[in-house]
Amino acid sequence: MSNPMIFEKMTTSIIDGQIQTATDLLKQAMTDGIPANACVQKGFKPGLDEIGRGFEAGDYFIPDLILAGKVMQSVVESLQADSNEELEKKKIVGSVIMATVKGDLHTIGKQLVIMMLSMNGFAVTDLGIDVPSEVIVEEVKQERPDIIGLSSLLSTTTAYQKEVIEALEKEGIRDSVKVLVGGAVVSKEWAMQIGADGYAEDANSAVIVAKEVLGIP
Amino acid sequence: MVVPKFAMLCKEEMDLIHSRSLEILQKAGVQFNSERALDIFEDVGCPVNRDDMSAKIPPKIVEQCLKTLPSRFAKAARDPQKSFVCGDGDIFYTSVSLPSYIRDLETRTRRLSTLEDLIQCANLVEAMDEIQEWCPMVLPNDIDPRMRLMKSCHVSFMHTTKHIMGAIEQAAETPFFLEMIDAVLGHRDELKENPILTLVIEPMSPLTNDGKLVDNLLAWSNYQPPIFMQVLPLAGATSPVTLSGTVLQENASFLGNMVLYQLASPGWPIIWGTAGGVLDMRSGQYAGGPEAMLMTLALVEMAKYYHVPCATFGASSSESKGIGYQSGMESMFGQVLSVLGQVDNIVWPTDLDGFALMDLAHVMLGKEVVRQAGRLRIGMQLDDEHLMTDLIVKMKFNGEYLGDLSTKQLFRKEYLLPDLFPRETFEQWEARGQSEEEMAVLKVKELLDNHKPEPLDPEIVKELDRVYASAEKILGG
Repeated sequence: MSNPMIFEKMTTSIIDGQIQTATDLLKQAMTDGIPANACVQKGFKPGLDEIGRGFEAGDYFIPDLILAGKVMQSVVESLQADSNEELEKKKIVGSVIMATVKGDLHTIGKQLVIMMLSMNGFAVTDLGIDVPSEVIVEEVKQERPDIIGLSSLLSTTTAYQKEVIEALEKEGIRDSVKVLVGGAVVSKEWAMQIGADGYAEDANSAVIVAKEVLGIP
Repeated sequence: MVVPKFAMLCKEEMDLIHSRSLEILQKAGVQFNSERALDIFEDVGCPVNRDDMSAKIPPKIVEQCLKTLPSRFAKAARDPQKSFVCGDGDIFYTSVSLPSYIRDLETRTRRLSTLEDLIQCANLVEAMDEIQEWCPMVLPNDIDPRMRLMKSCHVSFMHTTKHIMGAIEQAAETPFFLEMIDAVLGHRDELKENPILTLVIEPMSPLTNDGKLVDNLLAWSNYQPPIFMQVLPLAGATSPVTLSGTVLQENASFLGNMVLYQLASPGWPIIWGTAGGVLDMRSGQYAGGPEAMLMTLALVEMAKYYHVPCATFGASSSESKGIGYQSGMESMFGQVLSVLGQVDNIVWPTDLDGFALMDLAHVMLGKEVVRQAGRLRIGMQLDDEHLMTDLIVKMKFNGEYLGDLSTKQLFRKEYLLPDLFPRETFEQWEARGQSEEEMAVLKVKELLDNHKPEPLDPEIVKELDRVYASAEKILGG
């Protein structure tokens, strides 16, 4: 298979969400002596770009994004496993700690935000769901992230978003980190009321707001 | 009497969903995340996995529990005249909701809801005969988060005489709830005979549970208050993307959870809150629409297959942010299909913005939706008295039916007369110069101004206050 042809198939494998096809193509490319970097840049990345562009335009949807992300992840993993070539280090634009607050077991919204942030160059640590405020604060102390993202889907648990901010203030580290809040029952007014740095109404706006608070163009 | 009916599934299709549900319960089971629940399953010989806190349920156990599941039961009220029977063929309406925001009656802008709003909601529901069951309608944001449920319970007993539906979130709340019931009924043991309270349990998708909530509900097994069980799968996110796959998963989940409460206390009444949503594939948010209604209607059929009373959410919230074409259309859509699906319980059209914004004007306009949809259920009489063959022959080509005695005698029974929406000429409408929303706001104010709360025995009030204060010391401290 000629290089352009294999690159085109790699692009399609991302768009179609075909993990097996993507890793098979990668193996074949390695056998044919095509550099890993070229596979990523000319093969898989154009697929991600196409999905990203299409999502903005309304042609692609969340499942397309998730599947593309999964295919890319498996490509990266198999490249790392093969250690054929040092992967070009992805430029990290900021670090984020994400958590669904105490008493709340909802995960989907948080996962979507994590995916979108990761795709846009943020290094994200996921603390999971039902995370007590003190655990979040401890993590902030240890990891010193640029941003913490607090998700809450229940009207009864939004109070813990406030609790985290208060705990950060108490520890004297409030100014060291930007706090973003989100979740179905959360609003801009609530974010302002509790003194958060930003509010994101969905996964797309989370990226915009995260860049905004860090002053990234 | 002939009435329009809607039946989506035939016997073979329901058998298929049932048998596949049994397969899921046997092979995957349900995760309960509760040691007590697993003990109950172990006692009857179900395979239990203490690592992932799940139980697999053999078909014979499911079939056995379906036999003890009641098809009709009482829902009592503080005012005995407002008690009713669930599952007797009539529809009853519930004010289920719990948004954090309310649209202010005066300023018509959105703001965080307060305790005063919660009391106002209770007064409005109390004043509306069309709503039979009260469930707290807004979150009292001005109350300590740890005390909000207790406060809602306190308000419910203080301000409504209707059957109450509520949820318990923390185990520590149960003793105080029971003390409040002691205050109202004399003793908690009365609850079995006089079930004034329905408790909500929300098993999660896929096939799992918050163990704390399971334990909380199991603590009530001796009193058997009716359970409102709602599984809320989100197609494409927490259940298969297909509508039928989501129906199947919810059906299996209902059966698996139903088994737990029947094993814990055989004959424990359950009403199945059938609901399903789809994930909006652009925003990642919950969406209703025709897909949600299709899944609900299939589940309503399954509820009838199991002879268990069921409820629908079809009309309870509009995705619209304000009152207008969308809110009216969405409310009516869910109402009509629920009525034609012959459900037992429908959630009143209460809020907007996808369960996030309470608007009492919308609640009021819902009355017209409910009345008009309800008229469909009354149908028409098909006998000689109503066919009026002789009259048609007698009148021949003379159209003076208006002056016939039969018209005067029967039109009130045959026709639903408009309540909120006036039938008027364009000129009258123009002269009135009032939108539907403004009209509804005035109607709400009128009802609230004229509402005379049913007095509660001062001794009971004193006791409810005492229980709330002692709960505040422990839960709020």
